[in-house]
Amino acid sequence: MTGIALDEIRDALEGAVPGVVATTAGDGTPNVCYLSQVEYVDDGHVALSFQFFNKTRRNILSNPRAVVAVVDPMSGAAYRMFLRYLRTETHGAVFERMRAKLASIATATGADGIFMLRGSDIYRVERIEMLEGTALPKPQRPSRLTALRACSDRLTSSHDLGSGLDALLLGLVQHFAIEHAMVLAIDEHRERFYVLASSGYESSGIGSEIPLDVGTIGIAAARRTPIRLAHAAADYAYVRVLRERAAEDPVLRERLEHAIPFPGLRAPQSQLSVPIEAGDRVLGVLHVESAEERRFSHEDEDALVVLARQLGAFLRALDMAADDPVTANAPRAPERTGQPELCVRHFASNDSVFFGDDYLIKGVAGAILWRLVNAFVNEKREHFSNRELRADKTLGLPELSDNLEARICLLQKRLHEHDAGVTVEKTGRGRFQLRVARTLRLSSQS
Amino acid sequence: MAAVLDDEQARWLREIAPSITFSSCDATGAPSLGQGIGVRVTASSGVRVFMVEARNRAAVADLRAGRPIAVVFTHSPTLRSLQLKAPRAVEAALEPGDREHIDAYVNAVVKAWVYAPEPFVRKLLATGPGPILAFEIEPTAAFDQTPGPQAGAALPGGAR
Repeated sequence: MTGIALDEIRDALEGAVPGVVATTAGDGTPNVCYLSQVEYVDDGHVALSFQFFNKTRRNILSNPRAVVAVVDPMSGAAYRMFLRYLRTETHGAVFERMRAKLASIATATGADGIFMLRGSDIYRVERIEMLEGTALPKPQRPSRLTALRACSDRLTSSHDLGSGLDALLLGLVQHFAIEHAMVLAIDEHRERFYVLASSGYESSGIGSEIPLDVGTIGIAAARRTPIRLAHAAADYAYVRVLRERAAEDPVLRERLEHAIPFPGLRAPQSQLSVPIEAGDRVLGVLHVESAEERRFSHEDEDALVVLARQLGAFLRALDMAADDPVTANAPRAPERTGQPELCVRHFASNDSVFFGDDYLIKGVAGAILWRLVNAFVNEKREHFSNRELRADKTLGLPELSDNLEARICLLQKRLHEHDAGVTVEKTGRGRFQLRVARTLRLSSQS
Repeated sequence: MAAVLDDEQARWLREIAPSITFSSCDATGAPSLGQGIGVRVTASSGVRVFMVEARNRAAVADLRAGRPIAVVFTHSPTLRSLQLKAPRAVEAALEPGDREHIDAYVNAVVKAWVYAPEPFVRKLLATGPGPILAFEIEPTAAFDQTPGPQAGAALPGGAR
């Protein structure tokens, strides 16, 4: 016994080298079986996948002691973990994490439809030993703690959600070399996610929507647990493909935003979805993906969980902060000379807003924009506050948990992408300005 | 009585360089786990499994105490796996040629594990430190242990 802690051998639990488990029947007959997964639960527990009613299953129910052999794929260090079976979980975060991973393993091994997780067998780790002389020096990996701190610094120094999201996504690229990432917010009222920010895709997809139950993103939010897949997974198909499938369904197509193409890799090999939480609420999901297999480590997962929580706290603080007092009006945006007037069309049935024939946004963000341009044209107002939007019952903001900052951020980014001479600029906490550089003509249809 | 290890399985074991994992248990039923570094099929269709004592102390102690054994052989490229069980394993002295057989086994695994760097495999299958032991097993039961829903299915054969 060498007193090795479970936290020290997490690389060996990544499944690159299949693990084996030894158990003993009531009559003392030993049994050896391969394992699909050894899941880290906490610093004293692991979970083994229960897929079949096999000898291992029968043995641990009568004799709870087991030995599991795992190998660190980078150093070659071989470990034996001496375990005691405690219970089987058939739902909850650990189960969902393992179910998603099993699906990815099944796809990677061509065993779709055969591998089904019946339960997560939770074991206490009683001791761990390393086989003498197995470990090679490990290749140095960049410190995830340093990267985490750098990203956290960027987020903390941001003053509004838009710049915070941009800083976070840039930080993921620069400090974690994560090229493809998106932040999705939950619209609880309309039961969908909408893309709030993204990086690394041909088109940003900001404002595009997916149903709440799609892929790793859906499970991460519903179960409030990170879902990390090392291989492509047919059962958890890539969000983009699922979204395209949903768009073919006439009912779903009507319900979901479909004019904006959804970002996302067509065939990611690795995916990591992390819930963005604040208190007892899930506000959205931070989703990263890669065309490489085994791209995201448990250290990436830990770091992104911390960043997502920080983002959640940041979002909540923005939503709860009192509005700044009215400041001196910023100058009106200079009118663009020679530009024709802009016809802003509003469809009341779904609060969609078009600039001319170009679709811009719908839903709550569409209703907000319509209110702003009306105040601009009819009352000559440019400055607005979150408080007055919350007081306006016609906007359809939920009484609680309105995510108003996220909706304004979405509107801000869509207007910026559209570049039609209409922008929303933050002017303080809970305050913003509608800047219009063209003459607007408003048209509303039911 | 028919041998548990049939001709096809014996031939398979001779032709491949399988991964070898074995298990025993102590008098209280606590399992032990060990790793083999070579296997030979014996004249009586049993198997002789080689192991480094220093790396498998608990399992060796259990086998020396006459406890039962289960050993799984896996062909890594296909994951085909065979589990043999016996009520005991008998320690045997290394015979002429065993050492060369072990070296050839390690070399064959290095070649077969195309995705693993050679130093990694050689560390994992180190033939030291300390003495190499041999245990002979006359299996009384065989099971298909290839991962999947059929894993653990008893294979035809009979008790000796």
